[in-house]
Amino acid sequence: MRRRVPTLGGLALALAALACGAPPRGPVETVERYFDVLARDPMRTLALSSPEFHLSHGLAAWRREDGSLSDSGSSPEGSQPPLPRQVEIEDRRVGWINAQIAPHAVERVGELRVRVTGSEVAGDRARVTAEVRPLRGAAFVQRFELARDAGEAGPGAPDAGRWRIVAIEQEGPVGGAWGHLARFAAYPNEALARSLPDRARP
Amino acid sequence: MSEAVASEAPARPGPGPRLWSRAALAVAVLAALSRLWNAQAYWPLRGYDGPAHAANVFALYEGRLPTPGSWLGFHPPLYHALGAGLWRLLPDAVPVHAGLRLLSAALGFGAVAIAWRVLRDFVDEEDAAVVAAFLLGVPVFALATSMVGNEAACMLFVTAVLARLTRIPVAAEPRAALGHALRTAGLAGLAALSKTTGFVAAGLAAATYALRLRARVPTALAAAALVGALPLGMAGPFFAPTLLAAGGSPAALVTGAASSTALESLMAAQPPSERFLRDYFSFPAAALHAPVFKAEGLIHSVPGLLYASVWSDAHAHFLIPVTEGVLRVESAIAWAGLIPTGLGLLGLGLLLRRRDPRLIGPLLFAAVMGVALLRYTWILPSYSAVKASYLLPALLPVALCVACGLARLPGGWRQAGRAALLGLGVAGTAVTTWGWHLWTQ
Repeated sequence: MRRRVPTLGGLALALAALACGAPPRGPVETVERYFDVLARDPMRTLALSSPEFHLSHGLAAWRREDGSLSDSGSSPEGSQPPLPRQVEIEDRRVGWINAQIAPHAVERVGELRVRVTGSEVAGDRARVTAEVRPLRGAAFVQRFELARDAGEAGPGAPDAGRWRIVAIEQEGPVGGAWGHLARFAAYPNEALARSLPDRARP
Repeated sequence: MSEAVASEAPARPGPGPRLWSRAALAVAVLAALSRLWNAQAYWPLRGYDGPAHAANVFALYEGRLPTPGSWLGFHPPLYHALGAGLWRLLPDAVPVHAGLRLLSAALGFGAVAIAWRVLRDFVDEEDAAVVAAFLLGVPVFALATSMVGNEAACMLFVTAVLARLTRIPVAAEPRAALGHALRTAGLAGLAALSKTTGFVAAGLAAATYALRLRARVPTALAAAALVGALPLGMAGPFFAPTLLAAGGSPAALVTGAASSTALESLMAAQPPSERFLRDYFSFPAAALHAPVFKAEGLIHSVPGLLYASVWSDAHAHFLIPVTEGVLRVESAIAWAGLIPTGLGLLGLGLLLRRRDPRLIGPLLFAAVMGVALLRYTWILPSYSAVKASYLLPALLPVALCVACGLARLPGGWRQAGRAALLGLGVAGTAVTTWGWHLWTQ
């Protein structure tokens, strides 16, 4: 019985430490973590990315038959009122997860070899460059723009003050169908989704 | 009731004492291992609205409520809040969706544990254990407890409410009766905070207290008011703004219109797009030999698709792609499902004839849920609206019907019935264990 007290106390301390979360990540660690959890643990990518990022990748939970985004202002007819910003962000987050769990994307992510090649920090903004080598298809460069969390969720949020991805760009030769798939796996986005083969689309 | 059933049920012949209970425990352990496996092996966030549930969990992880107007923004937050809390505790190496699936499994197993406890009041321990273990392997239950979603949370709290309704202290002092009602009201509040269905349980619970305690009108009214009002007080602050955002129309929430006209069109475009009365009175053979929604006639048959979605992955979220091999196995389970279905109907007839006042609440709840689902399928004429998982909160009344049907079987048939239920529990668990179907391609 005596032994149980320190055991329970230790357990409580461990739980408290876990609840407080891991120490904040820098921009490079955030990018490394992005590739680590992409498709394997899609929900954690939400905590690594900012609302601006989700407004930039173009993916959405649902679309009209003509392919335009939900009710947003991007409707070609412009007849629908735009979605409230927060609703649109949620819509894009769901689209972002959908894209990660799309057939083939999951398998391709495991085939990517990633190496961070550069980073620069200026105040609350940072840029990180990574070289991505797929198993099949040409290597390409993926540039990340990051910012310290502006506090969408408020100061009490577990990740407040951490670096979050604001935008991603890719450079380099595409290299055919496998190249497209690899690029999509490394950065799921609407522009690439449109050029994927039908059965690989999210 | 236990006395009534026990007196009508024949003596227990057959294998040695507690053999069936031990076999049931083994089946339950298999089911638990299967859910553990599914949590980490099943493709991330696949299942009913997995990505949208994930977005709700993420909102709560960030310390804010899900956005009204987003896809599942109208869902009450309890399951997602539990998931967000779990996320904070999970080590980085454990995928969040795996933790959420284990949460679903734990909540579902909790519901079956409560059902098992109640069954022991009505049938003998062996039958109770067999039926409880069988439930763990029924595909609709197995799939819901392998996915991210709030079905299991609602099932747990509604089952707890219904269990309490079987034990209302009719002869107790008013203070004790009200104390009982207060605890039930708290559980009904948690059910309402898990899913809208919880409000149905709360309303039914209030009516049941009023009915059962009617000999003392003030106590009956006070208990009913408590059970009706507390859940409203607990979940109302969430639902009021959500409903306002939906223009005050609950139907707009379920059809998707509250979220976006695009979602509404998407849902409306799902076949069959239109419902006819005949859709409620047909039962195509495909429900047994090809139990997936694309099979001939199933989209136009509410009972057929509902049956298929109890015994198979009828909406093709898990056993995908649907190959010939998958269909053959699902068909076998669907055929075998006729046994517990028959037992359940037999048990229902017995229970209705017996008119046990303790069962008023659970049976009435099951009836209301059935009608509500039919209404839902009429408002939203889409195949995705015909899902047996919406009926999971009626786990307890279903379990009672199957158990009482089993208990009524004569000697050798009863042993065969127990064996069939446990066998089906194992088969259902095997079929809903992720990965086997990928080897058949």
